[in-house]
Amino acid sequence: MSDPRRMLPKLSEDWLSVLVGLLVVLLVALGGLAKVPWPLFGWFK
Amino acid sequence: MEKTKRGVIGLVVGLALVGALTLLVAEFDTAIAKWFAGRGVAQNPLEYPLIAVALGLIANALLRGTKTHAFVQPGIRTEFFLKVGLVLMAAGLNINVIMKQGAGGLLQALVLVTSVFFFTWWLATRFKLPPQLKAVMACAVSICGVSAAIAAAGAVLAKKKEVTYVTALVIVTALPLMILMPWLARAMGLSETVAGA
Repeated sequence: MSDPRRMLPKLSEDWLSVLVGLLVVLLVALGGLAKVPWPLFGWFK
Repeated sequence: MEKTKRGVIGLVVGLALVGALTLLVAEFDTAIAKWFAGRGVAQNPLEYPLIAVALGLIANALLRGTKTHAFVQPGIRTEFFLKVGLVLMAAGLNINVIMKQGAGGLLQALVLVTSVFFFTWWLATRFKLPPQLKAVMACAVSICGVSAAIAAAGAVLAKKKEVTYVTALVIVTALPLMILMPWLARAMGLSETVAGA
């Protein structure tokens, strides 16, 4: 049996940042569609 | 095992801290813009990067003062966050906005970037700098500072040390200029277009 950790491809920091960046873009787009306010809390309004 | 657990907690706390600081920058930015708008200044002169720098410096001083800097270090991955920022910046680019500037704008950008890049390259050669450092520095100076340096460093396989040199150079130069240049532009009576360029 091979080690399951070795079966996962190890991403370099560059690719990881691309993935995280695209996830954040998706999050921002979903936030926009769901009309999430920005700034989130509006503490100083 | 204990060390790994501590590292994971540090990673989570560090990430949460960065997230909280980001939210705080947005809160302060809106509040400051409103404060200026209430005094008849439509354009907020203290833009969010300046607020982010100030909050970052305060947080850094507090972490070092309380000796908790090393604990949260696993979650504060500056270079990684800059790379994520590059992806976000590219996602925010609107091709229509670029096209509105027309061929003149594109040509101007091309001439400016190329001439600054090759001048920096020539100057760095005169100072006998290593090729990777030359490439990172030329990109940083001619394109858009730290983000360009990080992107170029990946392409030319520059050492971490070289990226740190260039990042420090850009920050040391840009920090005072962020405050001084708008003031100087106004004092010199430059138009917003000229000053912005």
